[in-house]
Amino acid sequence: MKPFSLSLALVLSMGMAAKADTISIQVGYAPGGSFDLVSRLVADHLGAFLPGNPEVIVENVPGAGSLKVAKMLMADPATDGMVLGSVNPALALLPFLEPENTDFDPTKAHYIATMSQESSYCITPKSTGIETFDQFLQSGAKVGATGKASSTYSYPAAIKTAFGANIEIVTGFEGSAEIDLAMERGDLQGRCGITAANLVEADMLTRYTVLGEIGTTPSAVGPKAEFILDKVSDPATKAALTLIFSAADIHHPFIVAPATSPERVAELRAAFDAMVADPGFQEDAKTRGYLLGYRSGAEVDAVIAGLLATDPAIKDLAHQMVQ
Amino acid sequence: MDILIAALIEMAEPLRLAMLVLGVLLGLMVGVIPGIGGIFGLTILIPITYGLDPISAFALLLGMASVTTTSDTIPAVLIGVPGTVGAAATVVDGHEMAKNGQAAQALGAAYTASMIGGVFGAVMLALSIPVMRPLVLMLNYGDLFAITVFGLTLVAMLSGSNWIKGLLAAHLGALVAYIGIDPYEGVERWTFGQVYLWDGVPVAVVFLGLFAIPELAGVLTRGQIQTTMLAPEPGGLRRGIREALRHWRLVLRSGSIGAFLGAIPGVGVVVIEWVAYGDAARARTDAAAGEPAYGKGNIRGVIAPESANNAKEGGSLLPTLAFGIPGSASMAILLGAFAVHGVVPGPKMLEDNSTLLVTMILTVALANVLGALICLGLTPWLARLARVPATSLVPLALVFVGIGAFYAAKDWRDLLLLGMFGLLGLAMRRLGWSRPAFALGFVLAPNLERFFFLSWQISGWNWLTQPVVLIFLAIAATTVLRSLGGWRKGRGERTKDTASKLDLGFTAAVLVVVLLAGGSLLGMPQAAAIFPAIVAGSALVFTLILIWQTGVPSSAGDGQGMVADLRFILIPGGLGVAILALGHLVGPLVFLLLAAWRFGSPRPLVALVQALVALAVVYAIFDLLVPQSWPQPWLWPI
Repeated sequence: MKPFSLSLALVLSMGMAAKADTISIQVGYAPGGSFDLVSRLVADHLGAFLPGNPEVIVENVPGAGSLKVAKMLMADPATDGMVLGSVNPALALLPFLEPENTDFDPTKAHYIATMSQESSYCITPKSTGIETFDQFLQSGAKVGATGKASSTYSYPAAIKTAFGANIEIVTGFEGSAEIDLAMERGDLQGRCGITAANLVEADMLTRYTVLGEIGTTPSAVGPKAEFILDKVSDPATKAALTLIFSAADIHHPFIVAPATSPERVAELRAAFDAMVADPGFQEDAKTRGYLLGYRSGAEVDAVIAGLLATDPAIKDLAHQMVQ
Repeated sequence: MDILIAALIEMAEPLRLAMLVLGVLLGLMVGVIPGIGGIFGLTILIPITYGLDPISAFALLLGMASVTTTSDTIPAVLIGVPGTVGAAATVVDGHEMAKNGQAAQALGAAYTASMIGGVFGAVMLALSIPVMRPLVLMLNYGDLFAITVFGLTLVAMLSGSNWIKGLLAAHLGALVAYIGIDPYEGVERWTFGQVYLWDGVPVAVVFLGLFAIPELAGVLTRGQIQTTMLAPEPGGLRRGIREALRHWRLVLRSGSIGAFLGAIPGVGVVVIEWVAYGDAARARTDAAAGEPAYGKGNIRGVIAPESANNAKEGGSLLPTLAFGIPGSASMAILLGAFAVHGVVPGPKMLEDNSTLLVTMILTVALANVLGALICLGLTPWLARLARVPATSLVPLALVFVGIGAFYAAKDWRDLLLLGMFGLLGLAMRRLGWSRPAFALGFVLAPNLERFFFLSWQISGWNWLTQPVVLIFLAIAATTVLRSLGGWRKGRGERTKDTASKLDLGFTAAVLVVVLLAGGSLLGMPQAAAIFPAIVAGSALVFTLILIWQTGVPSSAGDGQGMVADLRFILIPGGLGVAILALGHLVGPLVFLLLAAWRFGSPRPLVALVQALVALAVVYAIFDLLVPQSWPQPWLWPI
């Protein structure tokens, strides 16, 4: 048994060495997307701003539009905050957009920060001849979406209800690449929910008309387009639409488990604040083509508290608008 | 010509060549280890690419992405374990060849087909560039639906001796594939309330269970990879290369399938390899004299998927280059690298960045050549594995299969499903149910549903009159009719299947699953239920026919064999428990030492050295190269 005990001890020590002081950022999406990009950017810098300079690694745990990671974190009993989730901002709207879904509770999870508060846009290929948002609303256009739980569906569905628009939503695309190709082919005439970062990729702006901006405040950096909220006159509809669009205010949030100790949450939030203020980090973000729009944990908390404190009637209306 | 020379000069810079070689070496490593695929490699490479110039970044990324499907053949052929999900089809005939002492020949043919397929994909890409935009837009979802229907008719070619069992196997594959959130209504189907199953059963786990576990059981039963004690045939490698060259038409035909389907986002490598495999079988319904049947070690069954899965990479570059639309995760990262360096994809690249464009094509071609040459160089060594005692080989291979499956979600359910599909694979193998037919149903059924609903939402029923749709549906109908004709003709010649009680028991179990699955669809929204309901209904009919055809069992069946299978599944089961209880390092160590003790071989010291080397490899890959946060072992608190 001697060799056995020796090797056991060796391997245990290897295991311990691997575990010590490693923070993991679990991304709810596959590599290659914006959530992956921002998580890797954070992972390369965050360690330097935390006590003990821990190593920060990134793991992709794609599934159910990041709800898989969020649910895992909700059940994590650890208080040390060594696992961060990079998740869909729309999860914060889950209590009223999908009240029957109790897998994630934004009031219990701790939001550490959001790296972006980016507007999204509605676009159409130039070949459709649609030039304005009003034309789009009456065009009978087919708009592409992945699943009914994604913002590619909830945004156009809300717009359709709010404006009584004559548009159809085609669901079942596997990702934005398929939606874009279907637009190029002429099968679809629009997509709502594309971010500024994606729009400036390749030569999209020369081939697409940007019809409207989806967000709660007009973007300072994105392409110029009609601000959709400004076009709504009915106060209740406007409030409900604002609620749905408010996911854009916390576009790339990072969360930790509800069990995390208050001291650790404060430590992580302070580290994020210091990291984003660092010129080296800002330079790196620029190099990687990431548009920073930072909000601290306290600011994110305020946004979410505001959302959840909305009049129940407005929440119900928002719920109906995305069905 | 000037552009080509300029591109070659650019490529010849030492850093770029080094990146290409590094990418290729990493790609080969990722391909060999079961369960991890190109995505794993990409997570290693992404941080490096930011600091590189575009050509070096592409050399690294494309070098890696191009060759994972070259080296994944090695475990597929030698031990029946697909190195990536793209090599499952290669297992079917490749591993059979290895059993017959033809491992070197199978590997030689596979690498040659991979190399030619990969280069062919690059050439197709080069030729397509002037017309890439119209080409990418050529097919709509109606066309893709018809092509998928045609792909499904290939099940007929993969059904083995009993076509009803083959069709039923495909139905079972389809039912498994429909687990998860449906693409149209967004409702849960057969998820048992588990978020784990929302995106379906992990493909890697299904293929590892269905192919790797039964083949490793076979290796253990035989005592070594080969069925005979004969030395591997001399000159096998050269013969394999010659065979691939002799079947050049098949190589190019499968390469075309790979390049063409590769250009369509949403059609992954698993679809491509099985369609190429089925197509090769279709092209030879009347097997040439002296040629083994498909599934019995036919070299064409190795050549076709290997050529197709390497040609895919060239095809998948098309949508990225034409529109800046990434067709896969690696292309999304490539696009990021484009943006960082201010490169705008599209036809204007021909004018603005022609040298860069040519270097990308050259990278794909060179990586394929380099990857195949390295593998060819290693083959004489690797082929010797065929004579290593199974008691050493199988536990080691199981460790990598187990860790590979666990890596999918690092969830205990990964290991549970691995065991369940392993058991299913063992039963299917023993009772003559075609696993390739199951695989084809599994990979094509989701596309059938998705493409149908997309076509219907976009153009109602109008797409049914499109020329491509009509052509493919006609070919599909012809294939079905020909198969039916063949089966009717062969019915008189075949001796009646001697069905056993075991056969009947398994069929009855299938009947129960089908009834439960069908029944649970009641109350689901119509659109979410329609496709699974059609599959379940059709499966019910075929199950009843099979039971009627079987009649009263004439024997008890190979009960001993079944008991041996059940005993074998305890081994990966034990490994699973060890990993969960003791962690991904200590668990396999304990498992390997216990296995050596149980089998009485290898000797204790050798066993310890082997176990430590295996652990060092696992540690280097999963803890150092790509650090993971592994779940806490059950016994950790103790």
